[in-house]
Amino acid sequence: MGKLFGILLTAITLASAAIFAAHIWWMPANISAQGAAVDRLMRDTLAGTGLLFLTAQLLLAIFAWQFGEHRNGTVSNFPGGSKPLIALALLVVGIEIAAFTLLGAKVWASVYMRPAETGELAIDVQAEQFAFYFRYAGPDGKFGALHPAQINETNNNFFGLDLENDPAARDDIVSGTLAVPVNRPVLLTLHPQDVGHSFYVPELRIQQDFVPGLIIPVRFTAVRTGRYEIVCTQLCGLGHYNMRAYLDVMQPDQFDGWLKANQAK
Amino acid sequence: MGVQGLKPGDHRFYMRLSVSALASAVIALLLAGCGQPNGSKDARVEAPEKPSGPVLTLDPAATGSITGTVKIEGSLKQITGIISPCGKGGNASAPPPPPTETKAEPANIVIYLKSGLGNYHFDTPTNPVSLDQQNCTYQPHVLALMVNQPLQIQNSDPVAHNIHVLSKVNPQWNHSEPSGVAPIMESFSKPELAIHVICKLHPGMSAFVFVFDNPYYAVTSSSGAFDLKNVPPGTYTVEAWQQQLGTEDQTVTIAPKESKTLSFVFKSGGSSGD
Amino acid sequence: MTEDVAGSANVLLAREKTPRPAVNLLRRYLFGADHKTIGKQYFLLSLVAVFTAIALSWFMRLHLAWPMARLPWLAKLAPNGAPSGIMTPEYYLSLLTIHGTIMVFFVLTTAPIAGFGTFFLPLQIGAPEMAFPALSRLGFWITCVSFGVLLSTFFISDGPPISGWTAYPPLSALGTDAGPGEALGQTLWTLSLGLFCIAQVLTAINFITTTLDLRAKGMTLARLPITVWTWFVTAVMMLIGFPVLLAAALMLLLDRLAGTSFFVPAGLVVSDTLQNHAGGEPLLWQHLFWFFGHPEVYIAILPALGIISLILPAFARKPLLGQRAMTVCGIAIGALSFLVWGHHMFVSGMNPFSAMTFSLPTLIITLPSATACLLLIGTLYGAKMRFKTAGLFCMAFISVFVTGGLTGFFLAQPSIDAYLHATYFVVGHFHFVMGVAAIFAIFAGTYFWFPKMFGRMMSERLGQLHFWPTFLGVYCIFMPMYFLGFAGNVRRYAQFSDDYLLPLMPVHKFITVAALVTGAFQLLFLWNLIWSAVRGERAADNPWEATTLEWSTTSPPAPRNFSAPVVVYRDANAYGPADNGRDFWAQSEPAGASAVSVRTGGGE
Repeated sequence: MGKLFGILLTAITLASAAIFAAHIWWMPANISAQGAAVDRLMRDTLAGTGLLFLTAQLLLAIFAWQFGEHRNGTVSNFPGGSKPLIALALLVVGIEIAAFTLLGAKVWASVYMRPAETGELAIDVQAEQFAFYFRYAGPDGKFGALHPAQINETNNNFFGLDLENDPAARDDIVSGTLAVPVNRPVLLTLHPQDVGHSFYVPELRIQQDFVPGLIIPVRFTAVRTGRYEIVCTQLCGLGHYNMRAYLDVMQPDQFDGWLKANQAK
Repeated sequence: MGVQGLKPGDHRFYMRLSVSALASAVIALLLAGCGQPNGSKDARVEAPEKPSGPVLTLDPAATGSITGTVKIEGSLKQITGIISPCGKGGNASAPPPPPTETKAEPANIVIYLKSGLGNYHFDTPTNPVSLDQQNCTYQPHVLALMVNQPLQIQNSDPVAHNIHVLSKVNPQWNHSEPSGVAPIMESFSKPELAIHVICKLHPGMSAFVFVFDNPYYAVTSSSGAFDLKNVPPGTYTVEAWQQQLGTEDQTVTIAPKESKTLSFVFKSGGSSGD
Repeated sequence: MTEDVAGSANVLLAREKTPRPAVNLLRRYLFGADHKTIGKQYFLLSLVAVFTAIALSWFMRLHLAWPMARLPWLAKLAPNGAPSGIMTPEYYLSLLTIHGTIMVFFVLTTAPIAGFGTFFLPLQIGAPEMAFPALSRLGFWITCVSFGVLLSTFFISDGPPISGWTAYPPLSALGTDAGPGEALGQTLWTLSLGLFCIAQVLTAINFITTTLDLRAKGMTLARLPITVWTWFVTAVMMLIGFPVLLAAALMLLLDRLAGTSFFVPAGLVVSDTLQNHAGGEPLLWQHLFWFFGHPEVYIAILPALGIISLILPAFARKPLLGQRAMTVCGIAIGALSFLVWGHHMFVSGMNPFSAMTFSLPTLIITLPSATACLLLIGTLYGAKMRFKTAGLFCMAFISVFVTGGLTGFFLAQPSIDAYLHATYFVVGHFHFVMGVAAIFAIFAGTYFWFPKMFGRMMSERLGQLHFWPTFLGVYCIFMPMYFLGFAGNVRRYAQFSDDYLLPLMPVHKFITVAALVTGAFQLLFLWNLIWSAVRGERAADNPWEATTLEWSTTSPPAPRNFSAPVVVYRDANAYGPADNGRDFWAQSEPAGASAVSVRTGGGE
């Protein structure tokens, strides 16, 4: 039985480790200027935990194989007793903790504690059951004020803009797609209309909840063009699985053209 | 210190405890059942005037009719959803085409008797009215039926839809309908105008349902023509409803066996309604 | 302190020498407060709960793998939830909600502590009964009512709630406007939770008092078995944590029914309706919930760790390596668990600086966890392991706890969690540590303690038939979830219709098949329980040759547990060559000559 346990556990361990190492199912390619640091941290964490995983599971498998009831000899204690083992655990795990904390703080700050940058493109994002809407400030560079009581979905007034009386609101561009120019810092301001939602683009390595009552900033710079999915990750009701939008990263001139075409509406 | 309280097996203790526990549970459940759902209800009148007085009998020999057409003057901007229906795809860098201003068609306009109808009893029709979901749109976009008449909702799309009935007089309901299941049968117990029906899974997918307690209503096709038959004699305010342009009223008096023609004109300001 | 309080237990024993009169079934099973009866009743409740929740998970997995499949039996069971046999998205979410709620509360919080603890705590400390038998009885009733209220949500017209076991407001606070299941279903769910909190606080008070006050003569705190230590620490955690959840549940009920706005801010437009709330904070719920919720998952795992640490030495025939250190690890885990709740909220909108203050304690808590794992592995070194089912589940526990715990390293780092949060990586992580490791500990405890509880042995052959497919099966179910998480597969999705998720469908199908097969093998366990309870071989007093006090009395124990006052001479770790003709010393066995200790310098 012990030998069977050892064999089975070894097979499971090696198979799992191989799949992880081979990246058969893995993160999509990074498209964010800050994403490379996250990927490095992810890789280092995988290596560190992978080592611990292999060590612990294989030790367990070996001991299960070797120390069955019917082996020769009497029971014997772990060499040195528990103190060396505890010291080893504290040391190895302690080093990993210190490393991850110090490295991780920098990476976290580089994504979530970015200061405002000159030239950043401000886009207002509203999440609701079950869609994302994106608002651009238009030629005047100012966002119109939001009036929840004036939200009218049948008229595409998702943000509750007062188009009659608010000049800043009249040129706001509302889109179902998040279009951004490549290599330009973007500031998203997230606010939900109804319940909690979340903004997640795996390629950007960014996830941020929408919290009712709060306006939450998210900053990123996309460095590759293409179309990527934005999905909701905070359970928001029955349509949660179907709540998505597209992030279109374009060349700057294409983006200008996109803005103009949308203004005409 | 040691074993406290009453001895195990003391029935009075447990009896009292169980009674009070049950009582609290019952009170709590009652509280739960009586809880009002949140949200303010619109105070607007959502239904046509309810006729009062003794129930009258319809004399088929004495009925007339109200016919006519509805026109819309000016152009009406098509409001297309800014997210393409049924979700995904589309060219990454091409923006969606701007909607065109077209001469508005007088379709999907509802004509009904706003007031003036006596307290007649009308049998509930048993034939179901059909609401279909195709290409992530409701077909038809506007429908009308009578109180308690069956509404048959089917899903002809390969994706699931969710029917959310945002009624303000009738109880609200919200059911998902996966692709290819047997149609959902529903009905409305009270008259109500312009019930907004949306699909929560597909933004922009919407329909309007009108529920009447009499058979004198019509939903126009693109010709804008309507014909209310077998109307009992009387003086009526006839109302026409258009989704973007609101309502237009006209008064008409029908003598026995008389047929009158009405003409409704909605004036569109061109770029209104956006 | 030990001498005079220990005396009270013996005084009670002395008083109760006359045998109890025969009682009729109603009095015994409904009103009787014998801790062994109540322990078995909790165990039975957990058994019903776990198979219910497994069935729900089967429905969920079937829908995820084949969303368009028609399941006629499901149409009969849930005509609203699965019209024509195809599941609606809201029904999937309601299954998910109830599955999680049942598993976390009625299985993982009930079986290890309320179930095994109520039965074995008095026995393991040499007491005839719990300190407050009435609280035991009341706690069980309230837990039953709570379970009933939760299940009742399946029978109301709008169905169970759809907001997950975490029930974040405003989704859970706004009523029908927010979605189906959010009316009466959510209210009943919250009521069920509140009742459960009350029951657990009563249980905690009972456990703490019993452990401190009713120990037998010679049972010093240092000699307490590791299970008693973990039950004690867990009970303290319950006492602190559950009232916080109760407060949150009450506030949610008030928001839903009484028009308050603890969790709902102004200006929300839901289903075309401007909501009539102002001044609330959704994050307040998250803080309250997770301040309870994180200790809760350690409430689930700590008794499990104790059970494994108790059982493994009995089958290894050598003492637990570093027993005192293991106890310290348990206390450290319990204390640290209250400092880490914000790691569920890294991307929740809290000030990003707070992520660092929560990340550090979360990483630090891996120290006692890793130490505990190493001590268990080290116990196996030099053993003469009896590979009975209970022992096998102990070894399997170590494996799955390592697998689940290590993935915590990823989630503890905010910038990595920003990618993995709310993906299947998290689902894999918590299922490994809770849904597998803690369950394996319950299995180990069941195979180990069944003879003592029911006076009969479980079938070892059925046990082995249960163990091997289960061990392989859980890796097949939950390891692929880590892969899905790395690919960015979001959780709590009723269906996978996003472009980037479609290529992952084969993995989901694999998981579903594994879940169905592994779940089916649990029926073997159920069959073993039922058959053995009725027809199993009669058990001796100490079939496993274990050291703790429950094994020094009959199987099952007599009504007041011990026939004579108990005196304890040593701790529970005395396995290994002994000069009493056997390879262990029972805790209550007086030493003839001094026992030869197998412990070399350093260990303890």
